[in-house]
Amino acid sequence: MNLKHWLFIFTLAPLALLGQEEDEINYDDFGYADDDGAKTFASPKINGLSPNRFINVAWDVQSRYKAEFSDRTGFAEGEDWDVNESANINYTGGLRLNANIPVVSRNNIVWQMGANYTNTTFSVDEPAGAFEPILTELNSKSLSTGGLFTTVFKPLNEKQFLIFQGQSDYNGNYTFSDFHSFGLTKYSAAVLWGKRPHDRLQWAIGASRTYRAGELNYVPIVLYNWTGKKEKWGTEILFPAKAHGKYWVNKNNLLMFGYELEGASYHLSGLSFNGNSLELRRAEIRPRIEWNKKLVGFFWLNAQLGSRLNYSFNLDELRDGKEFFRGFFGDQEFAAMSRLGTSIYGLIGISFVSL
Amino acid sequence: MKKNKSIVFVLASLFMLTSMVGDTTEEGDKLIGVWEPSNKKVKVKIDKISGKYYGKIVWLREPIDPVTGKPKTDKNNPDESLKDVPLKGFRMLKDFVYAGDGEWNDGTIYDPQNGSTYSCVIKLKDDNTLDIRGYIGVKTFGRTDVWKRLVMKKKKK
Amino acid sequence: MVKFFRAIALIMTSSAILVSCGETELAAMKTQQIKIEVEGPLFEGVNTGTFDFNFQDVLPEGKQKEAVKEALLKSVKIIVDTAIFPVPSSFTLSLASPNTSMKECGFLNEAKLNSEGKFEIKLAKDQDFLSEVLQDKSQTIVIDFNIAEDWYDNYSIKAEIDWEIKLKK
Repeated sequence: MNLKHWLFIFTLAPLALLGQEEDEINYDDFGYADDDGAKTFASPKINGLSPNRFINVAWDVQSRYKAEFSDRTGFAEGEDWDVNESANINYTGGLRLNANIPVVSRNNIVWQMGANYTNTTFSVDEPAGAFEPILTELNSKSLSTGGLFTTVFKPLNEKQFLIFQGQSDYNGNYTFSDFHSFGLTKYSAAVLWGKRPHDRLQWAIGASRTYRAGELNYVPIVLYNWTGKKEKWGTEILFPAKAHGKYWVNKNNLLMFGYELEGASYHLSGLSFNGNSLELRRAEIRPRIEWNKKLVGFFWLNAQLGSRLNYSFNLDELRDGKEFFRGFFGDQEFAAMSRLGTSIYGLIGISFVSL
Repeated sequence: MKKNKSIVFVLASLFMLTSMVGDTTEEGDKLIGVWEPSNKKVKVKIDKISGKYYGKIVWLREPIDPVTGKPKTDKNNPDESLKDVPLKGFRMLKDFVYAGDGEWNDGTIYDPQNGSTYSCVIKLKDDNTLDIRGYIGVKTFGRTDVWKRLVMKKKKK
Repeated sequence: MVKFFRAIALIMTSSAILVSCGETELAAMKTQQIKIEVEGPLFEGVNTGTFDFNFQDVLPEGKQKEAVKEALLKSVKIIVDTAIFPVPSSFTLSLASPNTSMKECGFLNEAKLNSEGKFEIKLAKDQDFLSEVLQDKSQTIVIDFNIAEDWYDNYSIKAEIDWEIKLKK
């Protein structure tokens, strides 16, 4: 073997092999270098879904409305009651913060942890002190919700998935210098099983333990997120908590229309009934339109305008500080009854999102 | 004969040496090839252009847009004037630089489904598996996908 | 790897027109002609040709890249000898540099020859990124072209690129 042969072996032969490798390539004919490809899992998203908010800062405000309360003597559901306290609430509103941070985010599991804080301040038109204790309490201390939550999205295969959500909320008219007992922390959870038949549809069914209706409840839930073929129209439904239709005006502007049921149970520190804690079971239905607009990069503006319909603003007595379940059929008495007039509400916020 | 052996030895040593040098300097080229994301919707060919790595879509599972009946284009491109760029051939991975230790960074990944470009880091898990993490700002706000290497299994007839 | 695709020549037809507009800047029109020899075999589908250059060589004599205030691609025409080579069905034109991200500058879908027998690329409206790319130490033009059949020989592409460059005086 002469020098030329060696040179060929060391230099030209590998190039010749490379040339062969590229010859007559058709990508249909490509297969895995290993035995198998990566397993395909259902994505937590579908095309045309509204932006997923990692961090959101918003301000919520309601127009003036009338509030009426009974005295605190105990009432059965549907029982007539006399108005003991009555006033206009000139301002209701406050800050809302929400952070939802991925801890693990892979194609085979998404685990997020989050925290939220909302504050609602009430400005009551001349509450009459000891004669109107509930209105006075609302006027003097704002309602706060501080929560921690976790969400796990676990795809089982290309089509099916599970969602688990757990949340603990510390709600009341506390301030940062005057915390209430952490024994009053509220726990919520939801489990869903669902399918993602294609890139524009995901649905799921499940059950939840929730305070969305103000008091503790256990309700079935249905998720139905769908986007039309042209990716303009669609729905985002998590019934009964919220349901929206949507219309993508363009890639930077999304209109949504529908409702959300918002609620929580708040411990009121300055009031008691039979020596027991009182909980304000606050829930409201918010039919609305929402405008989501891309500001820059992954920062989006969200603005809502709608009506705030009262669902519950009654007070419950927690005997020995213990939570109870009334549900739709329970006959436990309310400590005090209420009526709130309907108001117009607006919300404006900025979010750091992922699409 | 002895002279020939010496030449062979010198050449063999040179070859080994250049191979070793090549192994370290061209470690980054392990990224070159055809890869498939876990959703199996596309095949992406990664090339090297002027020292950086780029991946273009060379195959689409559904090449035709069901709405227009024509080959899919980059309809979500934020630049209106580029919405008709064909998706086949679209460079969705860009500007990756080999950082050593089986990792490529400084690049971006484009999601044609929503027209967003994300920062991206690629990690070679083994010779035929990539972890590709697209993220926004910091790596926390991201998602990792597993890509598998493809090789030609059969020749065209 | 784009080892198969080599740029082999840069021909400047320097049709430079300098126009004074105000005291702070000059506008220059420059035509850059490039030839890319893509080494075969090429396969059916999208193939890539690249051309490395230094934008300094495009500028009028005596002007430095740092003086570029604004640069625009006014037209890009691609010439393929269709009597010899398979006719591409689409093109995508991109520009890259060592310290910037590669950007799509234009494309041509369902490619048809214009009256001059050239493929005229539809250029991106947003070209704000160009100044940064062109002021980098070197530049790479990337042309992706889609052919419908395998081609076993080298493939030759020429391009005429018209730049409009605004310079600080």
